[in-house]
Amino acid sequence: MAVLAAFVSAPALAAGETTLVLSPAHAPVGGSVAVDLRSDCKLNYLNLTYARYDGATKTGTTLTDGTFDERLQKYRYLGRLTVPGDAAPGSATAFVQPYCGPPEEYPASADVPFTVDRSVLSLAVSPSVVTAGSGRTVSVTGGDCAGPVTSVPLLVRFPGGSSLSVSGTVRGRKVAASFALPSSVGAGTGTVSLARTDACPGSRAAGPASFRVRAAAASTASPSGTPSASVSPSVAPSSSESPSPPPSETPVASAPTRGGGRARSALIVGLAVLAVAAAAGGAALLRRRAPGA
Amino acid sequence: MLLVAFAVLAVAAPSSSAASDCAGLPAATPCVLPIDRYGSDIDTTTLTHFAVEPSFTTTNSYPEVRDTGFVGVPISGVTSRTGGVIAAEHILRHPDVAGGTYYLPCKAAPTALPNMESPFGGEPYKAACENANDPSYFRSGPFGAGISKRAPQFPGEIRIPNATDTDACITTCEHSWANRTSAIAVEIYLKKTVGGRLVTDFDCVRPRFHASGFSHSLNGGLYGRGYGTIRPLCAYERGASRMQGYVFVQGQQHLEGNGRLVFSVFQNDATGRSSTGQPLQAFSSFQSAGGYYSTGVLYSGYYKLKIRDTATGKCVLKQHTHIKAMGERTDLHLDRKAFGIPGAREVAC
Repeated sequence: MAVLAAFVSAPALAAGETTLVLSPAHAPVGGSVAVDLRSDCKLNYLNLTYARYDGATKTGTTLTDGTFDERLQKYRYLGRLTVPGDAAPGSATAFVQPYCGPPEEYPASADVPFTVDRSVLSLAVSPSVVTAGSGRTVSVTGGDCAGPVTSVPLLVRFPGGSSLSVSGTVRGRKVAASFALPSSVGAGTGTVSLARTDACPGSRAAGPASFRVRAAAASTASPSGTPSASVSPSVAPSSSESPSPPPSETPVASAPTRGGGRARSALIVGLAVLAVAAAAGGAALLRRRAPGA
Repeated sequence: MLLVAFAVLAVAAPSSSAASDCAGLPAATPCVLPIDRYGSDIDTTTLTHFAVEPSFTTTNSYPEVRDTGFVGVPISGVTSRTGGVIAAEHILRHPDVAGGTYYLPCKAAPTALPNMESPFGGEPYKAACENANDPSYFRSGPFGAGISKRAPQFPGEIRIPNATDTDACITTCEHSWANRTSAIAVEIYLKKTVGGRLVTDFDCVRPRFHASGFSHSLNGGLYGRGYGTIRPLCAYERGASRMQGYVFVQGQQHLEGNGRLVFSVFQNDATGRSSTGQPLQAFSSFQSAGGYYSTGVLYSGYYKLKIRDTATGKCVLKQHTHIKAMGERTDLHLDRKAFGIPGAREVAC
């Protein structure tokens, strides 16, 4: 029994062997994967060798600190590996170098294939509902724009088909931009998207972000809310779509109230009835005064 | 003799001075002999790894993985009472070469002609190492006693270049080691003079570290983490430890001269720290002294203990040995399985 117990509890790895498992074996820039590292050494350099956007190969190194697993008779590190921000999408490799010596007695692990995925660039608009003619500034934020870029071209499409080019700044893979809603834009749904699909070379766009332009309420219209004659040069209203109704109709200055109109009509009808009745009574009186007829 | 041995254990070992004070004494005198792993005062045949056959894996087998002037490890110096030696060796590794195993050019057998590739194998640039023929460090150098002392060979940093000029190279050795190196191992020995002879000071820790990740670009080179100043712990300081014991054969203490057992003790964890907080490990390579052995002062922690019996060729390994205090004692019984060490096993030498 003792022999069997010793066999069952034998270490899974040979002495000196260093192993690395990454799960999953792919992640986008800034993403992380689970690391299961086993070594005879407590401290280990966890290396990720990847290609940068300039074509050079770089090795990112993290010093990990494991805990001893009595069952495995190995130091084990369970943690996460984050893909560096300058890694280009494509294949990469990870491996472990024990911190211990002498070096020939603590070999490195085998290389573990890894894939740097494209990150997903999703844009968001705030506020997502704006009032036509309000001139409101709309903010665009987004992430994750991976790659050696500091700005990205964005395309804003307004309801009615007009569009606007906006430049977004990229800091820490976060995109930020803003634009003012042109006063000529009517109600409907607009979108914001990347002007070029390769604007963020390490990312793929999730799709355009949409926003809604609602019509301004007539009662709340102010003199300044009237359509402006001046439109941004980059904004070109479509001629195929009928212009939105003016925010307010010119009121009739002498228009009575609706209740007064109904009384007048009743009076007219009453007078007509009386006239008809009087005419009928006169005709009957003339026929009675003529007996020889 | 037995009385002498007991005297060593009872008096000298606790004071931790016997380890090196006895250097140069007659062979029959019990004495723990330190081994500098590739120092000039050692017999390299005692080493476990000794390249005798020229390898067909050489420096030129490894691709250049970076384009830099040098790779370096910033180190301000070593603080000690006695001074010592700091030594560095570089490690090449590539997944497509030799199955991703480590290659240490300065431990490889050289080519017949220095700085020349040979159809019979061998390291063409061994001449660029400290010793052009025998296993050695890339460079080692002495530093003096005092605060933050540097070796002239490493002024402010430990540097691996792409080309080396040595007499042995005849012309410049264009090895491109800076562009090929995967890691740099650094070891520090404190030395002291005993009886007119310079010996390793076993009363203080021999720190080592393993530098990699050369990502900081400066002055045309790439640097790893800065280690600042290193002050090796000495006996009975907080965090210091030591293991020692008697050596028995057939129940009798073995007193037949020195050097039958060769010990290699390397730390698995890293409990020492440099002034910048970088982890340091302790190591010890030494021989038994008759019926006694001592690891010398170590950092308190876990160690890989490897013992080779030169008389029988038997090797014993204990992968995870806890040496936590100065008074750790483990006796060895050479006629027992794995020398009678609990948890140890016999391995191929």
